[in-house]
Amino acid sequence: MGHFEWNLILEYLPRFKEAVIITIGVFLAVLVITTVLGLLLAILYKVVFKKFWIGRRVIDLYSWIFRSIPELIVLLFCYLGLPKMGIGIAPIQAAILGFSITGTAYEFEIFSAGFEAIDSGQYLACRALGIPMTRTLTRIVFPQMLRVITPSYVTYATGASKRTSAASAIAVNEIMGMAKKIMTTTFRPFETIFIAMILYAAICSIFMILEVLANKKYGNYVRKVS
Amino acid sequence: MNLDFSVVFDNFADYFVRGTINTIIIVGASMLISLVLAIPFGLMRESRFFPIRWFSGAFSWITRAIPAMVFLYFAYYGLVFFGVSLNPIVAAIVGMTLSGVGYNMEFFRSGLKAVDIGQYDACKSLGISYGHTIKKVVLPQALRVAIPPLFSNLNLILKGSSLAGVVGISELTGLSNKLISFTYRPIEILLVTAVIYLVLNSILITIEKAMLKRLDYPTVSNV
Repeated sequence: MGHFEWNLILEYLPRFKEAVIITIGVFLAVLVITTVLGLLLAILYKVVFKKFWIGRRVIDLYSWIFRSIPELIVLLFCYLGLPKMGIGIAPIQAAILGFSITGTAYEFEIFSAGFEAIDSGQYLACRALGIPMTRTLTRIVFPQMLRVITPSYVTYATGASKRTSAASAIAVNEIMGMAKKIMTTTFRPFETIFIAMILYAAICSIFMILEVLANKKYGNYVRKVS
Repeated sequence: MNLDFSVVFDNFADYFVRGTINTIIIVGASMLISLVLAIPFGLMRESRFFPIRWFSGAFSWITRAIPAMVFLYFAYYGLVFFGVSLNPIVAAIVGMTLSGVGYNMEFFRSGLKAVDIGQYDACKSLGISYGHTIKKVVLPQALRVAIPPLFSNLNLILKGSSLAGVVGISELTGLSNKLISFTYRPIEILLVTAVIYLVLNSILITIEKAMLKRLDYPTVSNV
């Protein structure tokens, strides 16, 4: 067993400050984009394309493909493939784009499960009362959906915060990317990986605590059938 | 831009077939080991003896809080610190098992918990032996609850194994990446790699559906 260099951790920990900011920044950007796009896709699928099956099949196909192939393949495609097609893209933009493409597929599934949970009678009731569709969604459907989707949404966010580490493969200097850099200059992989582990565990634990709270609050929520 | 798939066909056996076989070995082994390990760890979390309960709780938390990528680096480069130098494939299996076992044990545990405690009492009053109770009464019901989330985690192991390629292990993504750097034909190579992953994933879903059907449970499609 080797000798554990505590000094190395103290010396290099400050250098991770920027990396932590990049990790959180990429994660938040992706979360916002995927939430908006996922919700839009779910609305398209469940409301707008109700009688347009080709549109629904296209969304199904998109969701199936991007939930089946590794995020890393999508990231590599954005990073290496797009410049080949003549679209210049910086590593961090490629990372956000790649994660958003995959994440939207997951968020779409979460939101459409939320729509599933709303009784179709509610739409009819709103129509009977003459409430326009947009207001039906914002005032009647979304508030009820929120209770159903919160646990799975937070679980997804927890996983997504971890999976940002894949961005290190396309030269983004987030936590793992920084660790890789330091590993090659110090030749102390164990201590460097240890720093990365602590930082990821800390970030991820915040979401894991939220996950427990969300499950406590909404986990047992069952739609009351009248 | 014109696509030229000859780069894929010329290197199919050396890169794609070899990579797919290694991916299957890594994924298959880590799935099996993480499922088997999940049983004792899951039961330990229900232990009456608190150090055991806390130990497995901490283990579950750590394995769920750290990304697969970090575990793979740890297994391949970090274990050298302890004087353990693993074969690349074994290192990938260790890394993926570590990242999968935490979720597996939680799903396994929630499946067991979903079985009503009264069922044990009923079996006891009917004089059914404990082993038989677990095998014939509890497990089939627990598996129905646990299989969909377990398989979605196995799907994460399959997809996560692509990260092993970044660490320098020659599985499908690693070899594709290598081929890209030799030929600079990223689009063709990544498209074919993606199709292979789609096929592997479809096999996994077929197995899940077959298992759910055997347990006589309405199939829930989940990826």
